[in-house]
Amino acid sequence: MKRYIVFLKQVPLSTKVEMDEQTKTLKRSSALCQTNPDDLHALQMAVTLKRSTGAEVVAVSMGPASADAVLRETLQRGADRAVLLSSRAFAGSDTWCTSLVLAAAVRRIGEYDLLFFGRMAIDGDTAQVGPEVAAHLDIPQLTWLASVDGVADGRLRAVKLAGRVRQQVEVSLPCALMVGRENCALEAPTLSGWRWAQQQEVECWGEDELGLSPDEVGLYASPTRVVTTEVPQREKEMVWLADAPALAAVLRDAMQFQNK
Amino acid sequence: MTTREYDIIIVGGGLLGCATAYQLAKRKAGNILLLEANEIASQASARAACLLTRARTKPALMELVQETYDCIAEIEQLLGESLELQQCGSVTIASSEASLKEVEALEAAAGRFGIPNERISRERTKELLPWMEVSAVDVALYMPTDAFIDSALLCSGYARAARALGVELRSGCKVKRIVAEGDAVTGVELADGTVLHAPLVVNAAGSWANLLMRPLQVGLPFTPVRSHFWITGIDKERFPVNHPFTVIPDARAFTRSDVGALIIGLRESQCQSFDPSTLTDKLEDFDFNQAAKWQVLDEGAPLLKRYLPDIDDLGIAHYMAGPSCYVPDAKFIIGPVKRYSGLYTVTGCCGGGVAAGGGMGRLAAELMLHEEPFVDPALFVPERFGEVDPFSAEFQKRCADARSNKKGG
Amino acid sequence: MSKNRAFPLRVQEELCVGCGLCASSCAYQAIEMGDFPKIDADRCRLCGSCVQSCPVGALEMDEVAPAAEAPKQETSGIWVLAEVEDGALAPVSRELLGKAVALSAKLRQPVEAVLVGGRIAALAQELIACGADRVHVVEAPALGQFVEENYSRVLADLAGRLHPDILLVGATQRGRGLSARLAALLHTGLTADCTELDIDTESGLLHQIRPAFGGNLMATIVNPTHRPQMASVRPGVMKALEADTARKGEVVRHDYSAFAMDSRVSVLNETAEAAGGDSLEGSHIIIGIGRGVKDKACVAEIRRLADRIGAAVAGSRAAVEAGLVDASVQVGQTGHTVAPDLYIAIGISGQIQHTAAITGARTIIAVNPDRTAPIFSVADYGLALPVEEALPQLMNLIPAVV
Repeated sequence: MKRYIVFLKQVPLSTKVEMDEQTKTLKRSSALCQTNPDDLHALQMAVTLKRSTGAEVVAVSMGPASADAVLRETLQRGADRAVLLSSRAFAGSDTWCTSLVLAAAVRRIGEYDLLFFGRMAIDGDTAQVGPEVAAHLDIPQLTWLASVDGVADGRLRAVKLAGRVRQQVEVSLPCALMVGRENCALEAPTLSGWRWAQQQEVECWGEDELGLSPDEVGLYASPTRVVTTEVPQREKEMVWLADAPALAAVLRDAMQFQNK
Repeated sequence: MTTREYDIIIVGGGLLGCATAYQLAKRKAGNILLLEANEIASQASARAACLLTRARTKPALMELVQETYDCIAEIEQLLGESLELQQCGSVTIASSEASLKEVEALEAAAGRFGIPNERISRERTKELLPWMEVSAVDVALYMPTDAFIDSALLCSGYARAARALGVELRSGCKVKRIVAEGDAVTGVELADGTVLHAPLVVNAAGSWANLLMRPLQVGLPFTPVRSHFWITGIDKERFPVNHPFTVIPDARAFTRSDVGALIIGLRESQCQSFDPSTLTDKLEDFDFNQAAKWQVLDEGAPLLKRYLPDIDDLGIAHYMAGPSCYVPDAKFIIGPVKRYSGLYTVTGCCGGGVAAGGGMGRLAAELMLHEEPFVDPALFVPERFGEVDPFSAEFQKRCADARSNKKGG
Repeated sequence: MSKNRAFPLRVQEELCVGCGLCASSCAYQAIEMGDFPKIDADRCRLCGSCVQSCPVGALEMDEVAPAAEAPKQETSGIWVLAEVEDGALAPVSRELLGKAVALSAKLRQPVEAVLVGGRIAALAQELIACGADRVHVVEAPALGQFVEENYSRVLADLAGRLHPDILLVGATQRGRGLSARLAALLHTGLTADCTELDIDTESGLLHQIRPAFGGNLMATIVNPTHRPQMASVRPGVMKALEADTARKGEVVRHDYSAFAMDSRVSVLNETAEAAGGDSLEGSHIIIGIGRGVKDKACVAEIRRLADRIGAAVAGSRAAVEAGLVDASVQVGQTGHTVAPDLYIAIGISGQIQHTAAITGARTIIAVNPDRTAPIFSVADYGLALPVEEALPQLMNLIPAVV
């Protein structure tokens, strides 16, 4: 049977960060989490494809124990199996280390046909982890996917965007797909799905299960390091436009920027 | 530090604060300021189920709801635009002796108040409610003039009408405390230290109202209790746009149409109260317990299944939770706070702020301006439970029980 | 380093004043505040926000030992990967060269452009004119089509032999996937979508500054030990230099004629990508209709405007209720959340349910006669005019082909 592996990340519900005016420090008001939106679309694409091709859909999330909620949701939404990658040793991993851990998880899961990633996470906005996992595993990658047109005979046909061109490509399996919100609509989850998900096991793997040394992952092994973070000064004062011609001028500017 | 004089300061830009502002302005009560910590109509008033059920069995409630309908008409006139009242009608469903008694009481009340109502056949019920399994319906009471309204739009309607009548609205303006000298309130202090003066202050801060009362050593007899609803995916055949909303007491449920989807409201057997001291400044940051989305649906589904047989497999596209301010006797809190002269409150919506808000604002305005009240204010006196501690778990449970034991939807 | 290495983040209780700012700064709810902060090591991602938020320096995170900081090999050169589309240089490549010249003044290393493709060698002079001291040309018929797998292998090979210190790539649709794959192959760090770059004069490291959390935070990131220091840079942010055709530079051709394409990937055909799109989430421009739009005739007019500027049309809940647009394009809490480059709100008052769903838009223009409408509190540009007045003028001002 085919196997599709989907990667999902738990992210803060709100990316809003405020500057405390008095103390000049960061203030995050919400403690709530969600599954990264693009990742849910990646899951949906895997589950939808599974209906026509048959496959086991394995959902994988790297994060703290609370990421269990993300995996329960994947089970409710159609995943067959869920794996949590959780260890203190993973803390502080940048995209390079994160992709190393995810690639190790893929190897442990075994044979696979497709990897599904959300295009970008709303808390990091890097769009790097999917392509980096593909590189670690030395498999083709489909970034900026426009559509998947079919999977047959060990090959996948798809359309991808590459700047000003749209490429129709055929790629041999296994390969990695980066899925965006526009690629498929989410199906609404059901209560019976939730009930089933509550009864499933979520496997939990740390660096030992993945055959990684703690020195290969986490803060110390990550090539990049955050030096400072700060809230940008917002000079986002709204500009009143005098009339329709002024609006037309703004519109033209905005469109020129976009056409770059 | 700047100071400024007002005749009345209203704290809270939700339905009750805005309705009170409108009713005061209509009565030319002077120089009025309304302060809202976030945006007008952005908190609990944007999370309501929005039903405007006319027929009620509780005293004075029908008058209060009628006043809301009257306000809507007046405001549409005043602003020259529609508030998009959706007159879809309502159907109350009875499938047991107990709920049949409720239906009979509603019929009697509607009859007394001249609200059109008729019992309808199963066939007619099926026509009106294509999604319903009508074999479970013993009696269906149809009230064609019932309506629903987008609560945020209604709230901003009150606010804009109040502004048109001269009320100053300030959003993004958090009140730190209500200022009192001796036993008289003198104004409010804002988060930035500004003090604004007024001889009359109305605490309409909804879920946050007791946080403002705490330093004054006043406890209002309510606590925020979680209310919630679920919205299915769109299916215009089954859930036609603007089909009647339903009240199904035997399922502890209500439903209403939502642009081709179905909104389902369910009440759990043990409702969840929240300690007001745990509230965040914005509800979007507050944890209503995300797990409840499915746990409560799981609890309520078996009862609802008789009417909506595929509830287990129905796609649930959205979930909305919000706080309703419940009072142990499930009646509102409106009027002067005896301990301080000049301090008034209008709160304790008990899930009825959309329907009764216009009337609650009117009663508050009448009491402040010493006019003859149009309903008996004794029902809503803030001190009617004696001294209460809204921050105690025991009192919070009493309030939650008021919702758990609520009749009807 | 052993497996029992101590957790690298500590609270120095003797310094802590118990203010709780660290707890509120933590995006991952890993700090619980008692008398002192208590760090939940299982939740903590060691992002360092708390360390910075502490006003008294009571939080301490281990630094990597200085010996480990030194790069493993001698590196030289600020590389810019040139992006070529339709046989022309992408604007972002000129912008990157402009920035590279500024960095080179501080770092005293040459600016080198890398040009990869089928028939691209003619562009080398333009790269020199825009600031490159040296241009590496990799021209091979097999590289005529942009295939990330092929480009990343060529670039990894080239960088592996020539050891650049810095490698900059445009954060474009092509550049982002390519740079990520390349970074993994080179085992180096990559900072995505930077909006500012600078050289730290003390360490000589590249400071890579980028927005995170949807632009709510700016993070400065370094790559102390791995080379090259890679960053992708947002188009339209850096300033290109005035092209100087008199400028001299060296062109180095690299022979990849024997390069074998990745046989697993085949491009069946390429077509020009049309601007705009029909799905809301995929659209760069969205026009949102609200209840300030009175009738269907007005909606039809707005759709004509949308066609002209390549926008998708969406609506607020009220517009859906009023039957002006279909429920499938409702933007709001119970509808879509959108993040286009440009959102034009026409006759939308801006109820919180709606505004919460459009905050991801890069630019918001609002048209509404009510100056106090909440939509203006989230907008970048506001026009206080009734829709029926503004629209005909706009239609005249925005010709059929922009």
